Amino acid sequence: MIWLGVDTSEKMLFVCLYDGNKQLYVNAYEAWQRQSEYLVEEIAKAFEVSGVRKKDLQAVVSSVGPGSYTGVRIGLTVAKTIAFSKQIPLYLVSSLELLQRFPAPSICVSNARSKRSYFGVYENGKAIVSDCIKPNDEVKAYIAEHPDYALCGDTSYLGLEGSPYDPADNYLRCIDEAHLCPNVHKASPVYLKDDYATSPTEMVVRKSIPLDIPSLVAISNECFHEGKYDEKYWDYQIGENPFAHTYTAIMDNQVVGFIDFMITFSSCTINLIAVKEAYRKKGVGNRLVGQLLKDCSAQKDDVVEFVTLEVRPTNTNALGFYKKHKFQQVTVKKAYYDDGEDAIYMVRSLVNG
Amino acid sequence: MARILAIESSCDETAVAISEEGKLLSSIVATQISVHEKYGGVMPEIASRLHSENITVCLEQALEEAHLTMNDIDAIAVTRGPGLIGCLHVGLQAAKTLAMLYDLPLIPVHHLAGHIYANEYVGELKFPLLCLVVSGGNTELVFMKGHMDFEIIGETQDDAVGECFDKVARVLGLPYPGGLPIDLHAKNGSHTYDLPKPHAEGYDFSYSGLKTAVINLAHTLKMKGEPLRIDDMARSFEDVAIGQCVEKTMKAAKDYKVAQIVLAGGVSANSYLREQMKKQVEGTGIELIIPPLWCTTDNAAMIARVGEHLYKRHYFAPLSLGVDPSWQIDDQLTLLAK
Repeated sequence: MIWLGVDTSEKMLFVCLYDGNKQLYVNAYEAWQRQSEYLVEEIAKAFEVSGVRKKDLQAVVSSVGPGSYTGVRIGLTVAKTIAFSKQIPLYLVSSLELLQRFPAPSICVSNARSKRSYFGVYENGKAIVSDCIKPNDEVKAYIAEHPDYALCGDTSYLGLEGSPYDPADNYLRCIDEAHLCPNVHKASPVYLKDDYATSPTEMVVRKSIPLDIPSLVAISNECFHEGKYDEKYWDYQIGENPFAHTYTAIMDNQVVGFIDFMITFSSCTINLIAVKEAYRKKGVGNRLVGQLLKDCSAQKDDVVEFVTLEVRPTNTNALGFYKKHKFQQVTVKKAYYDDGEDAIYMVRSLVNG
Repeated sequence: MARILAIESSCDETAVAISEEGKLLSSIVATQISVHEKYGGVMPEIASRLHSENITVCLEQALEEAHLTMNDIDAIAVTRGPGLIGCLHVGLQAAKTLAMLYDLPLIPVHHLAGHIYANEYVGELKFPLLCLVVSGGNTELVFMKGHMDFEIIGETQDDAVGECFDKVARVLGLPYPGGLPIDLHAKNGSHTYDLPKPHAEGYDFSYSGLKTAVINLAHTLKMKGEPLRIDDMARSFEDVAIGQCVEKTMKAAKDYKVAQIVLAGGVSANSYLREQMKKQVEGTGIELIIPPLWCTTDNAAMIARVGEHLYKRHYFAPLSLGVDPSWQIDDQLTLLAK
């Protein structure tokens, strides 16, 4: 059986042509961001050099991700188009599985950016840890705990030495029922890192309820390291304090952040706002501030004229966030915090724009 | 006799069409509008994903509808730009793969050339010609001395007019894409809001000032607790936005002494633009072609149309062809010479 293998899921471009398990042609080189231009030309070259006629092609094997979104799509679109137009089977294989050093237990990784890795562990061609996305420090810890496992993939981004990229034999092993794509049209990349599953439409911000308290305490501890925002504090804010407004943000079925503020006559004060580290930069904070503004403008008896807050000068992320939301520094409150640190006092005016 | 299979995936429609000597054998469009609606605009990564999921289905349907197989095709035409890079990649890979597998010539087509040539489905192009290209990504005046000879004589300095419609629709709480809803609301409104007339030199356009003015006005009304009359705002906005298009087009048409004006792109579906252009050309001796509504949105039939012209010129690209998200239309014919 004549079959073609392609992989463009990372910076390498890989093309191979086989007759059963006999290698007719193989070529691999670094083509970061040029795969769109080179891949089809390289496939044409594979036919030309090997002397195989295109009409004799009987199967296509393609990596399906995870990896660079665009890279994976390029290889898979080509493979799909071939399989569809030639009416031949398409085999899909994880780009991590392709990296394994068969049959040894193999830790297969690639750079997912943002200090994270695509991570999968394979042994004897079977996944012992399914492909997933992990923070780089957890990956390094796993590697350290398993010194006898082969480390596979380009691990230079972890500061570690990996193995050379040589997936040809792994391709051969993946031509089986388990890897056969049942419907070529439906073949689509495995992205793992799915920023769009947590799009703004799927985030919920609602009034905090007593059930949230354990999560609120946990996030307070993670973000403020002060220990005073305990169960009692939240109990009071949610259940008793008549001026307090507390909202919980929920994503992926869990509490990921909150805002706790008070409206007293013409002013609003932010006591606390926090978002779990893993959920930052996804618009949670913006939604929470948006909720505050909504509550302020909904006050019937008083016009809320300004919003105030205190922030540590060392908390640069928060300072940037507040500036973006039109807060201006008014003064510095000396030794404001329990540990003696000063606080920057910021105000946002709600009148006159 | 040549049969062209054309692929278009520059934005939010995956499209495949097959044509033969000017006759359309099939035209398939898989639109993503319902998906992007909830974001109020096209999300590039999502669009790219959907293209890669839809592409082979569209190819299959186009061949089926034309009662053909790949062995009956003589050339592959594909949009290589301008557009969203990730989206363009998908169409280009599919096109190159088919060209490679079946040893067919590969024809690179400029997306806007497609929109202009869509007009050939309703009438013959007559030169010298002026085309007003108005869409979500473009606002341009293109002058043509002859076939495939494009010269941009005016363009937007900031936002595209279609983009401006979408943003304003969002402010008014109308659905995406904003063109049609604004057009419908404008029909019931009157021009009561004072919006600034955009200032742009010569044949150039400007839309960001107008967009900001609408946003600010809506904001001020909200702060004052006054209701925003959507119909009137839509009318006021459309008058100014479309007014600029009509005015610049007519000025250029007279200066360049053109025989024909054609409209192209998504915004050419706007009923007020169509009406105003008809009114303005009356008595000038200039002929006006307005594209059929199905050609104002993205499709591959228009790419096939350009493909036929280029096929006759043997304008074929190598398999190393790449996409160009900001490809200029005046480079349509010079690409392969370089």
